[in-house]
Amino acid sequence: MRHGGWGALLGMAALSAACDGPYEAPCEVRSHQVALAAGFTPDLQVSGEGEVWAAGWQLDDDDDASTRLAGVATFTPAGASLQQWVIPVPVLPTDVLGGESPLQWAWTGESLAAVRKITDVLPPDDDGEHLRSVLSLRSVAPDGNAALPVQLLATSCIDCQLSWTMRALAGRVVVLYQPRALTTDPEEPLEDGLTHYLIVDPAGQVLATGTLPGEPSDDDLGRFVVDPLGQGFWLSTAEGVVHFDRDMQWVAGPYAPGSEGPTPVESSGDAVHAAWSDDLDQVLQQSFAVDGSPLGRVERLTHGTAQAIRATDRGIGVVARDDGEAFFVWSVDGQKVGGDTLLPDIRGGWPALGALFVDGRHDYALFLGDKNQVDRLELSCER
Amino acid sequence: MSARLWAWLCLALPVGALAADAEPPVDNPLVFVADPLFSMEPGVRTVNSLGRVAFLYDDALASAVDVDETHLVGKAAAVTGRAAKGIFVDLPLVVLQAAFVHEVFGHGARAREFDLGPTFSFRLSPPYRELLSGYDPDGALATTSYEGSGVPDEDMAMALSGIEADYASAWWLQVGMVQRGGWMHYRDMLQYGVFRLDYAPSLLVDQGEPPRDLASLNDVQQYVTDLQLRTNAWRPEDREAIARNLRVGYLVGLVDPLLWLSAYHGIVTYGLMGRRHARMPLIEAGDWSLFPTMRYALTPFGPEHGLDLYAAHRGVVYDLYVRAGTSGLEPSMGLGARAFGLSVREGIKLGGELDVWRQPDLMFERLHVFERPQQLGAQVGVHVEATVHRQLGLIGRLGYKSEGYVLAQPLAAGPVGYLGLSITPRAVDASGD
Repeated sequence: MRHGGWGALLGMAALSAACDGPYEAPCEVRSHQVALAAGFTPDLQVSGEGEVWAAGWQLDDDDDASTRLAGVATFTPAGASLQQWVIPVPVLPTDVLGGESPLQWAWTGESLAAVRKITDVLPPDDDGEHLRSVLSLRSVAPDGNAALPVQLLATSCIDCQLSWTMRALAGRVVVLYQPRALTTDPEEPLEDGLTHYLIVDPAGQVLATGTLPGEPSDDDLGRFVVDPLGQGFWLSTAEGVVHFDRDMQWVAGPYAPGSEGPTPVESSGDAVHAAWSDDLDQVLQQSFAVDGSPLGRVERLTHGTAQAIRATDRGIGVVARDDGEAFFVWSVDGQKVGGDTLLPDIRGGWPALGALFVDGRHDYALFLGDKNQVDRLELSCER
Repeated sequence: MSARLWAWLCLALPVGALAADAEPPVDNPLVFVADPLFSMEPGVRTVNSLGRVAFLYDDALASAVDVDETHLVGKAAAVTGRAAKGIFVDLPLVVLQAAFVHEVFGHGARAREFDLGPTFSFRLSPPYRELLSGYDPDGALATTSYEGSGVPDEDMAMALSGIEADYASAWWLQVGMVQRGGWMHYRDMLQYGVFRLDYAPSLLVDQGEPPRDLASLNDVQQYVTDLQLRTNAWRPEDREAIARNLRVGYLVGLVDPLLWLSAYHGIVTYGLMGRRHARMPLIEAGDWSLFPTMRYALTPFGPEHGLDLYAAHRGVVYDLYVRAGTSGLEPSMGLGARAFGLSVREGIKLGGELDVWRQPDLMFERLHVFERPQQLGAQVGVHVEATVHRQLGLIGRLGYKSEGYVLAQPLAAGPVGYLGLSITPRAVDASGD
């Protein structure tokens, strides 16, 4: 019995000597500013002129169906509040066909640019009736005064589906639009199907038009976001994510082909870093040379939906959402370090609302779009 | 010892058959135990006993039906009758028992441990399902539904817990066999085979192809998938390697003398010869009876293989084991000992257990840490069996474990144990003829 006891102790000592210490999280939340703005679930972007903008539909309890409330808040990257508005935006509940009248808008820095599709029934000709669709822009001042609608005639098309998306950067509005045939007969050639762009000032004055490179596509327009460094825009296409400058001129890409959902991308000089989720909700990450060639293998980081990415000399930080919670993931030299860091007190929200990395005092600073509020956090990481 | 071992290996089957001529001892006590969470080990022990209670019908049948098997016609009728009984009564009973253990005290126990609110559904046992039930696209005999937690270690533990309960049941059947000096009822042989071979069709086929429908994975497919995600072996070639390792490892794990002896005695000693009890060959070394066997288990760190050495000496049964991970994904190892039946005074028997392990850290938060620190853990406990009145007794176990994986034990650190009743059966007719 005595020998067995000593043997067990010796065995445990030998095992213990080969054991590691307890798990320590590599990253720590150093500051968390909760509800910098509240009342709307925000879309986040940089202004291109040193500000951070948060914008989204405000909670709207009144019975006025002719307007909806837009919430806009602007900040310094350090999290200081600059301006906050609640702006009534004129809306049309239905379009001429009786369907829901879609409306998109963007904050331009001085006003709100609201764009909706207008569909008219043209006088019948030998082929019968025809429908004409065109985008219409209306500028709405922060006090709610709305200018007269301006039709963006370049977007006009006959008997077509017209999808569009828009962003504002550095005082200009970029509208991407894609006219496609109204019918989906596979025998019929695509009616255009190319993606065009329109750059306008906040009042709707057209500054530039053009067509993006690429093949005609029957797919919907992909996610169109402002580059987190304010250098231009990223557009998700079937071939991958493509980088455009502020004038919608192609810069580089496509990167990360095969990604599904949001694909946050950041360009840091000689490399482009992307994170995305696959069809199993695995968050994957890869870096590319500017010419699009992969740098290293695709690495799996975590489970969920990628929201934002930032590459620094400390490594690559990624924000992911999973099951209503938000997490920060850190990788160095293509290897994830430790586990996910929970970003506390996040109450969910649609994953695409995302996060936005900015510069801060610690290793990683970010604004986070939470349900009906904007938070700002800073993290430091140590291997 | 080596000569004895050789003799044991060479003469196992004939010795076993000859040994069947001896008189079996009284059956082990029926054990009905529980703990507040209705966790795995007490559930396994209790359902094993309930399975034995269900088979009491066979005692009555053996007394009521007397067939003269010395003549060819009588032998043919008896063998046919036992085969029919096996297909239509015994097998459905054991399959139902295994399904109940697998779901309610395998997946269910883990789900209760993680507070995931499990619910269960059962279908007809074979062959009645095939005979009586219409088309059912779900091939599973039983299913457990629960709220997924999204925590990788909990998902992994849930995936493997059904098979874990099967193997825990088989382990207790091994203990019972050694406690009875190698004797087993044919019912126990059948149970042992069903528990040890549960999910064999999935474990023996290649799981290297990524599943298309993640919503309807069976336990083995889910285990491989969770193992991939937990260890970040997520690429297709990683899955192929995991699947290859799983299949080879399972085949090695089938080097289990009790499994094949049970198959032999179930078919020959019971099915053909009509003897309901058979004696498995133990290695005799002085006053000691030894039974070595191989251990195989699915763990959160990948499959583990191990060796168990059972030893019986003057009414006390010991089990010494070592185990180690063989997946190549994450290292894990453990060793331990259990003892039962040490009589300290009239009507009171004590036992004890000690398990020590070194394995990757378990994490019950959604962290997705791929490279885990190795942690040392231990479990220590005592067993008590006290006769209260004649055949009725109290049985209990009390112990403490640190966080870690041990077969059929809670994963978290804390006290472990259960309390219940034991009922010692009366001696039964061994031959059953």
